Amino acid sequence: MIWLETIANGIFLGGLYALIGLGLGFAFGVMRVVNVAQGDFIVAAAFIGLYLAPWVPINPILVIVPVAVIAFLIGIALQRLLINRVLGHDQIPQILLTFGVAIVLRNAMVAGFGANSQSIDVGAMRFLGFNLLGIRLGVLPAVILVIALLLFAALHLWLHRSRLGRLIRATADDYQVVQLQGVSYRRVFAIAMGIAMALSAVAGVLLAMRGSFTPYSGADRLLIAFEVVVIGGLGSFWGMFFGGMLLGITQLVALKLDPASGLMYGHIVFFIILILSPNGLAGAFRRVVLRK
Amino acid sequence: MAPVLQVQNLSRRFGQIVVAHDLSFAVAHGECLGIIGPNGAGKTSVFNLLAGVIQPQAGRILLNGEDITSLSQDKRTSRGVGRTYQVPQPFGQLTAFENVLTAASYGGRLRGAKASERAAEVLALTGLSRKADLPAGGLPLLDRKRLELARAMALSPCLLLLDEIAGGLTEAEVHELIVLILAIKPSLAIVWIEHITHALSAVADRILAINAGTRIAEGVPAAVMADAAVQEIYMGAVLNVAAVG
Repeated sequence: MIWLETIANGIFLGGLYALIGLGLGFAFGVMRVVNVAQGDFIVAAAFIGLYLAPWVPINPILVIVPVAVIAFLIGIALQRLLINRVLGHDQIPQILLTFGVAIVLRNAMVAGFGANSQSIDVGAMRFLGFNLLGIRLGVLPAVILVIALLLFAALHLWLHRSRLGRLIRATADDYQVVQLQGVSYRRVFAIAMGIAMALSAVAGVLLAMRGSFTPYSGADRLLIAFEVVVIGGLGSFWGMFFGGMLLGITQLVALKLDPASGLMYGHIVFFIILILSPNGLAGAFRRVVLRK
Repeated sequence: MAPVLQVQNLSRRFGQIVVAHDLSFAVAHGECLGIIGPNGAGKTSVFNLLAGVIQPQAGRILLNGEDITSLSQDKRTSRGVGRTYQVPQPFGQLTAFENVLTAASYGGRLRGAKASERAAEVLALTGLSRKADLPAGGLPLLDRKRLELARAMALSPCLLLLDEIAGGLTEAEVHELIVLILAIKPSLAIVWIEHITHALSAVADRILAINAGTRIAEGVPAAVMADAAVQEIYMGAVLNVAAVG
């Protein structure tokens, strides 16, 4: 029973990890931009959430809505003011630029908020639990998984059903040719970065509700995001979701077996998958199931 | 009525390579201008100048009498310049219908049901209706060329730029394409670059022959093909290649 509970908790955590990866993966999929500052933006979103949460009516978890809106606008500004200026065949300038943004952001947060560990207070919900098939599970982690699932599904539907969603898929295919549809790809890029940042911000706030964070947490968040994206298979939507699940489950199961170094096993699984299937779960799925 | 496209004294060079030198021409509504020239003559560069991919160093481009010389590619598209690529560039992950729908809803500025109607219309026009829901990346060459044309037509353009659209097709396929282009010709102005001169001659009202970005001859197809300078440069280049090969 304890194992069932551990795996269920791993799935809960994995949903959140998938969401952390989604922002990075979405930006990469559409623009081929690797935003190294994503981890620090996730932490910055957690700080915004920390200060806004007491003002949110009904339930503190709804703070994800204003934080997502703010992050969307910051994403558009980031793309328009900075990243759009260094676009080109060479990806090194983008990586250096976002790396610089990450350093500035991290140090600004240390200076502004101090280096103490913080957590967003969700009130009584943090301690609520429910019974399912004889195991005891937390309400908050379950709610977070549902939010992650809803966001994945909503993004998937939006990309396939809406006018702008189709345009974003077209841009991901060939951003030069998008100009022949009368659209500036730079504008599409700005919207895509806004969405990527909004998704990451939601993940950052939810993570700060489950656990704690400091201004230095960005590197850990970025590592998780990278692992989720690579395990999933670069740019593969649902691959990322299962990538997050795999990481979450591995981490919690390993922590039970080896409390001293459980976190390391997540990285080991990442490493093994990278060796066995360099294009991740999606690549393995294509090879084995679809036989392509 | 002003011609749809007016090009005035267009010049552009890259270092020593001249891709356009003092080029002037005009195309009216319902007219098709063919551009021929040996490889490296500057044909595709002229298209890139017209589409806004590269900027001229001198000269002006007027669309319906309006100066569009400094407009970016996407703005020109919004004003009705449709373009097809020599090598079709469909959005491979999208279906044929979605490809055309994106063009209709953005460049064509149509909303909702109207965009879908327009998309279905141009797919029918180009004979792609039955393949509408297939991913564009998997279509065979002729269909991808048709899709390229359909996507440009979905913009409801006033000027259509065709870049070697007949290249790489079989004789029968070229014939199908000619019929299609003749059908759409009355509704817009066409500039068509092509190596397959018999296809061009069947559709074009006039042909402009260029070499090193410079005009060699211009006139009705038969006259241009018979022109001594054209034969020397155009056919001469082909013969030289054959002699070397």
